[in-house]
Amino acid sequence: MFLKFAFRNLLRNKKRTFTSALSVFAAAMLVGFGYGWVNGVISLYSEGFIKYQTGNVRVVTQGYESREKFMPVDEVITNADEIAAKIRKINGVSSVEERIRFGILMGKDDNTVSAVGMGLDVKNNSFEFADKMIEGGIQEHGIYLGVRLAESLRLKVGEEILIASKTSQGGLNGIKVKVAGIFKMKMASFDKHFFFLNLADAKKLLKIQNGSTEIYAFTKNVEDSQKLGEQIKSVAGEGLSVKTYSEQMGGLDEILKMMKSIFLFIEIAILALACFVIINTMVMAIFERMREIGTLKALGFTERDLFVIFTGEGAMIGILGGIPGALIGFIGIYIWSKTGVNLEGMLKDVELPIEYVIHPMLSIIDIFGVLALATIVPIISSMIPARYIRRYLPSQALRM
Amino acid sequence: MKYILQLALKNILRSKRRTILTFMMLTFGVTVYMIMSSLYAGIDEVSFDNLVQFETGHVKMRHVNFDEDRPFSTDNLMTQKKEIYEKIKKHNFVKGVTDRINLLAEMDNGIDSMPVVIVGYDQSTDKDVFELAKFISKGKMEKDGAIIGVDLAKDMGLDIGDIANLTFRDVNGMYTALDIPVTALLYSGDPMANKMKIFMNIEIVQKNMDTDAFSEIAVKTDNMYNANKYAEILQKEISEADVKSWKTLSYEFANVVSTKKKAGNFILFVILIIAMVGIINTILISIYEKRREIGTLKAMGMLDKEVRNLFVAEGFIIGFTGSLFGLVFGTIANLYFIYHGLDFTSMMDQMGNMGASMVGVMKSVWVIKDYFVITFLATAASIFASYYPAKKVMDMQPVDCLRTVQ
Repeated sequence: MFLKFAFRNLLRNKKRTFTSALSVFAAAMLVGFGYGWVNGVISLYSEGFIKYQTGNVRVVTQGYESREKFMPVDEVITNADEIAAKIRKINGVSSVEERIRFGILMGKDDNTVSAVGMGLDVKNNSFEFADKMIEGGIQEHGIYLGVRLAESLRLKVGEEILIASKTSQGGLNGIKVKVAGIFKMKMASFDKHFFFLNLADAKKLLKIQNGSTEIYAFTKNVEDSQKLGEQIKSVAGEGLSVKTYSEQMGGLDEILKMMKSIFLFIEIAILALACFVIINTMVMAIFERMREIGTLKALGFTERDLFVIFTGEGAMIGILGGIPGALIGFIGIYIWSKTGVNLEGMLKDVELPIEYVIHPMLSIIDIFGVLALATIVPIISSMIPARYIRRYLPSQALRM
Repeated sequence: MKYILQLALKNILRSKRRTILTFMMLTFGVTVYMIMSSLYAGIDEVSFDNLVQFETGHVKMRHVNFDEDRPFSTDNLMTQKKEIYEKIKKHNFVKGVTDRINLLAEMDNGIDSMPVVIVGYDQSTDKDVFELAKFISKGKMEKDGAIIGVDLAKDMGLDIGDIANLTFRDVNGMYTALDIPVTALLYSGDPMANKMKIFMNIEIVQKNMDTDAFSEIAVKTDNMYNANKYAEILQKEISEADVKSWKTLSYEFANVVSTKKKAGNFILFVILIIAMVGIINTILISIYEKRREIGTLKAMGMLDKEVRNLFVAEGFIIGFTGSLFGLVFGTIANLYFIYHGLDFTSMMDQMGNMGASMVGVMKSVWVIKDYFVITFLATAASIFASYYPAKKVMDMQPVDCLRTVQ
């Protein structure tokens, strides 16, 4: 009955109810939108890091780790294949890859560029560049170039290039390779600076007899990384450094997590701001209806009853605006998450493992979270003005 | 008027808790806005100065076909030095001209190697345009020595007196090796430069490159803010080169700055809205509470308009003093940011190049304009916000008001 009361009261001043609900609607839509967007960017970012840069767990020698920025080729894990085989047997591991990374200057005709080469299993790897090829395809031997690197060097599929690099023994070695394919990963750092080689070709170039410099392990679930890291530590043996993605990212992972909570706070603040309007509306409604409140009190309504009526009225405004707002926000995010947003222009020169096309995303839990937020905040805020009811005795209220 | 203000002030003081709450929202908002605005202004100033003094000069000329995506191509090199210099120097606004050459090389310390950018600068004329000396943190510029970025030196384990080994391709595509002693360390505002640049005499570079060409000509003018105009004048006469002002060159960076400004304005807007809603609420409640008094005032002959003004004055006082307090707190907070600064060194190491040319420690600067803008906007918004509820007073009948029991 109380809620029926509250609902009828809502209809008494339709214009006011509508504007108040509208402001909550806008705020909730913004929150729904913002939530999906922020989530999309952040998870894309950390997924990108895992997929393209750190793996869930990475094994290198301790010497490699301390000289990481030079991408040393003389810090080789000689029994890399044995370790990789052992890791593959661990439960929850989806794939294990041996890789060799090295930095070189590539020169052709008038131009010189600095590039990063990577030797790996060209068919099976987390980069999946075989599917991102815009020209050429996987072959027995050959080099696969990022699209902007190829443009910069004016190289086409089928042409040959001499690549020279420092070897693991400290000398200089060069091999001539054919361009087998050109890929577009839609990430500035890869398209501009990366090329891939068959692991065997890379070993030939760098004169590495056995093993490779890095082992990457990937898990099915991100949450298992920590556990896997410990398991790998027990099989890897002495002198090796085993680190999970969050250890490799250092402070960055923490910053990402912090960002999520900061955004949550901002979202609550936006909603609270919209709920100021509810407070305002309810204050006006209560003072307007003081006489009626007096009547009800005189008829025997307790203060609690009246409190429920007015809180209910405010909450209804909030929920009427909030839930559709949040839902429309989600629908927008859903459509967006299918089409994706192309930020190539903005990210073209940002050298982070983040794809140009961003898909905002939402999980079911997030949807309930935001819906709960859109319900609870208006209810709380409409309790604030409902307190005024207690101030007056029925006789006083009736005389107003 | 004075009487109304006095009355309004007394009214405000009657319910201190509510006043303080409204007050705090405004004060907090204004403080945050001031800190941000000063910080941004500080970043802009330092960044643009650094950019001009270290990187672009006022006006920069490059090869007509300069390709942003292939910055180190030898096709970008220019040769007609004498002709271009003549055309530049005949203008009165030109205060200095110099040329530089940039190329990509590999630096090797026997164990590790790294890509670096060699910048050849003209030792006699460079100081007419750039202020390279300002960015030297240790050692000094020598004729046959190299100036190397601090982070690069640290990475490669080099110090003053050590020899840097460099390999690069000359204009004929042949690999050349160059050994040069390090005589100074460079600490610039650009983290990328600290990480990968090495400066040396242009003659040494040209000799090893087997050419007398150069990558760019930089010009200093009498006023850096007229650079766009000067660049146009120079471009008309010099067809051999592509002439750009520092403003155009830092276009992307300037874009970032303007986005930040927009964000700042948005925050100001949100603060004003919050403050306005708060003030509307406060005044509204205050009016309902004081109905009897309003009745008394009206019965005693106060005009409707005067009673309304009384409540508008309440809003004005809250808004004005609230923003004043905000300014005071903002100023105090800014003292820290301006004289001590924010240390971003550890963060910058993590994030690498953020696109902006800035040093690790950021310092704010005073933005005098903010004081006026904030005071004006906050006060105007408060008056505007209190006008709407105060208007209600005009419809009240003294008899009805007086009958209210409170």
